[in-house]
Amino acid sequence: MSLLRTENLSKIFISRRGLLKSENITALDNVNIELNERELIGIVGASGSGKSTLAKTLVFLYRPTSGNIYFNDKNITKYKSGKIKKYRKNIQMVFQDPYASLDPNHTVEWHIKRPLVLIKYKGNINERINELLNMVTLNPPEYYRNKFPHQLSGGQRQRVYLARTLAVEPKILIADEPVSMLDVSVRIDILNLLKMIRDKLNLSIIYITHDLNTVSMITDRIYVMHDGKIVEKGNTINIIKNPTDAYTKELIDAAPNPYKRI
Amino acid sequence: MNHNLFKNRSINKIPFKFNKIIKPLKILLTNNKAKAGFIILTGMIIFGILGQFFTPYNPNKYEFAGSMPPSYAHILGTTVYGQDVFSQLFYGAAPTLLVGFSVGIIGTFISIFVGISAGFASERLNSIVTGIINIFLIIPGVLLIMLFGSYFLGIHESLGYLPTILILVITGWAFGARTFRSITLSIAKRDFILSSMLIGESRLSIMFRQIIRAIFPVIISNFFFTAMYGTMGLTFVEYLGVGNLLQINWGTMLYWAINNEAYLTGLWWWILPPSFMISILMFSFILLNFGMDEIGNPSLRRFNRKKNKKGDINEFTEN
Amino acid sequence: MIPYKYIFKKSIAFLVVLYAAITLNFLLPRLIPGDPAEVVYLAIIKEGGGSVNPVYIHQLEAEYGISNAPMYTQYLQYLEDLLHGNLGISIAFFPEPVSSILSEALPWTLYLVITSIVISFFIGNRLGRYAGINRNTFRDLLIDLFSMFMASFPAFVLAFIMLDIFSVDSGIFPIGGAYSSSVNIGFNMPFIVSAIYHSFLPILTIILTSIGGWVLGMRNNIIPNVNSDFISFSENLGLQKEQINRIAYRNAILPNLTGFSMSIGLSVSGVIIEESIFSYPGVGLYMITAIDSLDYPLLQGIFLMVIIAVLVGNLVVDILYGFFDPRIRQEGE
Repeated sequence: MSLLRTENLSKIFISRRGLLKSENITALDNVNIELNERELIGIVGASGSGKSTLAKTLVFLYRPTSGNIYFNDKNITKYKSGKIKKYRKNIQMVFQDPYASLDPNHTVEWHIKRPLVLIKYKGNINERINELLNMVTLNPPEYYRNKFPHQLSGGQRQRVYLARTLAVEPKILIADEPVSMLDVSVRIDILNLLKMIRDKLNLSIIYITHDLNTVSMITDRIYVMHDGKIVEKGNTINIIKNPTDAYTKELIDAAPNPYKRI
Repeated sequence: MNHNLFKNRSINKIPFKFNKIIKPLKILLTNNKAKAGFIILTGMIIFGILGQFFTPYNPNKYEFAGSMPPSYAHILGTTVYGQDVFSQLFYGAAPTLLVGFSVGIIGTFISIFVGISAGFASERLNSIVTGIINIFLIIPGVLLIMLFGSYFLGIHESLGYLPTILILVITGWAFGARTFRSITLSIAKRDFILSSMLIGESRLSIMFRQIIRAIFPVIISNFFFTAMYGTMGLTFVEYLGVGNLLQINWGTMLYWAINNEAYLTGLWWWILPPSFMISILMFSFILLNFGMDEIGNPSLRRFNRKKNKKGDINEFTEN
Repeated sequence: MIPYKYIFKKSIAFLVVLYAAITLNFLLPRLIPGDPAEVVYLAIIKEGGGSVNPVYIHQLEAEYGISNAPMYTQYLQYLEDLLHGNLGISIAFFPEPVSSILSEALPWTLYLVITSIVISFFIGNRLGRYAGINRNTFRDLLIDLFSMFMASFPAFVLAFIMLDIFSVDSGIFPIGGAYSSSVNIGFNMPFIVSAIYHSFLPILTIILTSIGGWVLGMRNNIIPNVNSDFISFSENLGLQKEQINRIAYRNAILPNLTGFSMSIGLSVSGVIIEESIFSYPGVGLYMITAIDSLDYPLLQGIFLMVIIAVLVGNLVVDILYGFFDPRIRQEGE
């Protein structure tokens, strides 16, 4: 049984150009993906391929134009605000830019405390904050709690953000290019952290990226997206070794390969 | 461990709260325009407070010879009615400031509420509220003041301070609402707001906890703009003669000076002091308005003067 | 290409606001406790003693909208009168109908408003551009301080000072009126010259007090543009300084254009005040008289007509803007 599934999901943006002309931009074109419990899947594609639209549609920041979304095999496409709120307790999203996703006017503590308050956390909130900060390897927690986002590095911010999403205790985590804005040196740490979280907390993770190198490190299965369509799907290693679709081949060739000689 | 933690936090809390008051002020003083405006305005406020207690003569009494030019006894001379101009100026500062500030505060509150909810609400509500904002922007405020004032005169009432503040708030809130609306529209798309929606914050909570804080410099800047409108509006109301002309403020002083044709009869000491006090007050509001704008909008901040002689490279400094 | 959809949308908005203004005009006196119209009406009756002509009383009742009819019939009557262009009869200028006073006064007001807005928009943007491009220099500071000071000086005080210096003391400009009595009204040279001569001082005063907003707005719009990446890119391409400034200016002027339609309302406010000071025969002068004599039919007529004029002005500017800016989109997008 799949945890999250989309069925012919489409999203068309209407972009007004000039006064009368309007252009339809198909961001998602009959996308079918499936996420099973405790799975870490990747969605790969170049920028503009619709990856971020897919992520935002899955958390209802966008409404799909057509198609359905199933959560635990229940069709949730038509959910309204109250039910969406409930649904979002199960699914959280990590944004690409850790410099924009934390509120510059609030401390680290506030960022993690709010979700705890909102889910009406039963235990000691104070201890829970420390626990979460420890989990994302921000040690010692007391050192970070009263810091403002601008006092932290990009990697630290992304960890704080991860702690914020984990505070909601979701079943699914969507990570939309979580490391693309970070230094290469901290990327591995964050990715390992994702993997560790999946193993420890039994989360399902959708990892969205344009970077084939990182996707092969952590994911079990991948979907390759191009122009809003899924062009290839399957086991990560298989696809990277034997791509069948022309676009996937291009993508693999374009990725920097440390072993390939020019 | 737990006990320790709690102690630690309570210690941390104290400087943090103190910071909350000091920090905005510090920010204010980093900008030269805002600093100048702040100094002038503080001076005005002190002038206004002192004026309630230490006027040299009773500003209401007609006890001197009329139309006396400035002298040691009357540093700004007397009016045609024999009132001491300086005492009136001194005493009238507080009500003038109070009207300006009240209009600023009430108007800003309304525009925060209307503007932010328009920018953050559903699309349909947004367009309706935007329409209402535009109506209030389009209608010339002076016309509405005239109409209201004349109706009040009709029922043998003049606009006292409260109705004046009310009408100025009605005609003056929309400018800020328009600003807040467009700023909120752009902030609502930022990731940190989306993130709060994802973790289940209500819109109201996001408005109060995050958006208002994010646009705080703009709110302050707008407060000074609305306060300026309020002060200017008070002088309009008084000039048109629909206000209560027995009250003493800089607006009524101008009304009496103008109605007695002080500018024709050479009583410059009667008409110029209130005019200049009003414009200095307005000037400080404008300085603070633009200073806060520059603080809120980093691209307007000063750039390092030490630029290349060729003028190509601008080094950005935080100032 | 004609932007029908956009024009349609703007026209609908125009009609809605127009209807709101008309209704507001009807409701306002009736909402104020102790209906002011009735108070004034009773005062007039009382003044005349028992000898007031019953025909006149009846007429007054009609003028002031005194009737025992239910609100909605009064409202329908009001709308019907409006449709026929019947705005009632002025009390201060009895028996002149309000509509004929307006047709005399409104053109002068519109002339002042349009001329001063256009000139101050043009000069203000130029000055702001100059200040923004030379930001943080002494010239910039001078222009900034001048603009701020002008914007902070009470408009009517400036008007009195100007009147005193240029008309009363030196006699360079006339003290009042819109044209000299020795010329024939019409499209002839002496009349036009006389009209411009008489309007010079009022227009100058309005420009002086309203220019500050444009200068500072333009300056604040152009600075981020001058500092933007695409400008440094053009610099690296080797474009002339003047060309680059023109690009920055063109980008900065768009937000100022939206401000243009909004500024009409403010300008009208200023003009109304100035007219009463310069004894310029526009609606402002009549309005002051109307307030003094509590001439409600005239006040309401002026209120309505000025708002309609401002709304039409807005509509025209909005539509022109639609042709001008190809990027126009739905608000808020």
